[in-house]
Amino acid sequence: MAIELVDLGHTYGIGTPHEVQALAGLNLTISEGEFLGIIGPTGSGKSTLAQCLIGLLKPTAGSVLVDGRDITTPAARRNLKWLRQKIGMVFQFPEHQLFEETVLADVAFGPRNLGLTPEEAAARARAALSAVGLGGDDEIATRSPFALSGGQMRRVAIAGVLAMEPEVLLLDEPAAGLDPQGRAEILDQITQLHRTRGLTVILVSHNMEEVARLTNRLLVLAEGRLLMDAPPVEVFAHGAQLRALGLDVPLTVQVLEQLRELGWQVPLSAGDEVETAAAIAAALPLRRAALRRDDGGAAGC
Amino acid sequence: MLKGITLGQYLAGESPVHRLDPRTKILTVLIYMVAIFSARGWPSYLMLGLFAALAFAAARISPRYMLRALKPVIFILVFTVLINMFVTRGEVLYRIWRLTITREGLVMAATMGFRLSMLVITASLLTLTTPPIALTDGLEYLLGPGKRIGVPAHELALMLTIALRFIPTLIDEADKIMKAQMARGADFTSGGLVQRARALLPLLVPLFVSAFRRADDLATAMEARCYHGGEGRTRLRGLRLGTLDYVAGTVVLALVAAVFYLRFTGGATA
Repeated sequence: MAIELVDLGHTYGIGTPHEVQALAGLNLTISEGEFLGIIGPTGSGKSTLAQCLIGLLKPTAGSVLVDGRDITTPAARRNLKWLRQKIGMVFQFPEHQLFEETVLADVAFGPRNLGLTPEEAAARARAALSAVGLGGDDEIATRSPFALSGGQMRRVAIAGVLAMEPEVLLLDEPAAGLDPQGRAEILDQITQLHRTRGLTVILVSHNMEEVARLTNRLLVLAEGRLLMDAPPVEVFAHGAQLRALGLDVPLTVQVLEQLRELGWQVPLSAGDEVETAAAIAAALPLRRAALRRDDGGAAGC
Repeated sequence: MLKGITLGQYLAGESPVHRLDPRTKILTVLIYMVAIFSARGWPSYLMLGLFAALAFAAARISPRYMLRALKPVIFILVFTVLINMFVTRGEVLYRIWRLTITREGLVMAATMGFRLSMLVITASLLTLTTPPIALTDGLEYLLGPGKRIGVPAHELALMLTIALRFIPTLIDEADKIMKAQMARGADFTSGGLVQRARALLPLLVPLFVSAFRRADDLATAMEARCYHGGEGRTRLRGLRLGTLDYVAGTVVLALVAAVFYLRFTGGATA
């Protein structure tokens, strides 16, 4: 399933003194099976873009085509139930949306809204709970969601979206506010879903390490415009530009940058830790040779 | 979708009425209310009406807002006028079926209608020209003497201030939760009354949970900054009476004196 944005733009509060242009002139295609990252400073339009993608917000300009169907026309907006099954969105701090008496009932809320029978909805809920690593424990399903730990609540909330079995999963800072282990677990599970089910994942994040490691395509938004659209390795080669926006580069890139300043011949950006280590290792003989040459000169004095 | 709700109806401005001390404005409105219900005879009503009109003009607020203020109470207003018109006994002017309209009834209806309208209009002028926070400050000060007999003036004002402060926050929060539930297929806009009420559950439960959490956080934050109640607390923006306040006070007192004078001497009719 492909999502196509055509000249997408959104302005809040048109005709009021508080008019703000949040998005302008966005053109891009998200194809099936991608793991897309979106980064940008606060107020760059990330959330607005996300809400336009899932049809919660009607853009004031341009259109969003999902499988070739425009979801921004008034006629299409009257019934967006099919879209809910296509694109699921996990909002920031999704545990704040839990409300049911039991975990199972909360996760089944989405499927029930799709018109499934209670049995089918419960079956889907169980499947979704095991997809987020809470399946083995039947006791959790019958507990109140408010009695869980923060990390568990987050996973239950994500399961609530997964239970609708979307083809595209849009996540807004899914790991924010969790401890390092909780972070790693959530992101692992998302990666798993991407690999095993071919789920298209769109990840909005402020964590450069995360997007560098997970995504295979990265969008950089700034002031509502698309600044870069490239694989993360290429995006993070523009460290200065990113820093000017108030963003940063992953630690691996910072290491490479500093080595370059010291005269090492390493690339500006090389991917995850393993790939970066390989790039440094490859530059090592050159560096040694260079040092030996310098030493030779010094000895001549 | 919940955005665009404006809280209270304060219209920011720099007019003399805006600059008045909130205490002056609150007391003025109270005194005016007493006056309008004590008035007798058309000269008094004329003066009171003129005063309200002048106050609106001085506040540089369009008369449209006067009518807008009356909108929510229009039913009560019409009801009061009709009741007074038909049930007051006296010299019969018209007779429609079993209903009679008397001369006294007409006068009474006009009086009551005028009184109620003026009541609402002046109260709305108060909220139109005073920011909610200034209003609560003024209330706290005016309720101050009541502390001796156990009126929790500071606590009441604090509660009001906090409530006002958090309404926009909660609206934002409700908006977010609503969107999150809509992304899970929740439908807030269709179905019958019962269905709609049930549909609100996924919105209300998380909203209350977060309100309680916020209240807890706020209490901790206040305690961390050594908040210990109103005792000995000073203000960032102290209330101070200026020349303007004395002028306004004098005008109002003169008005009331005139109204009462007319009531006990000249007020022959109505």
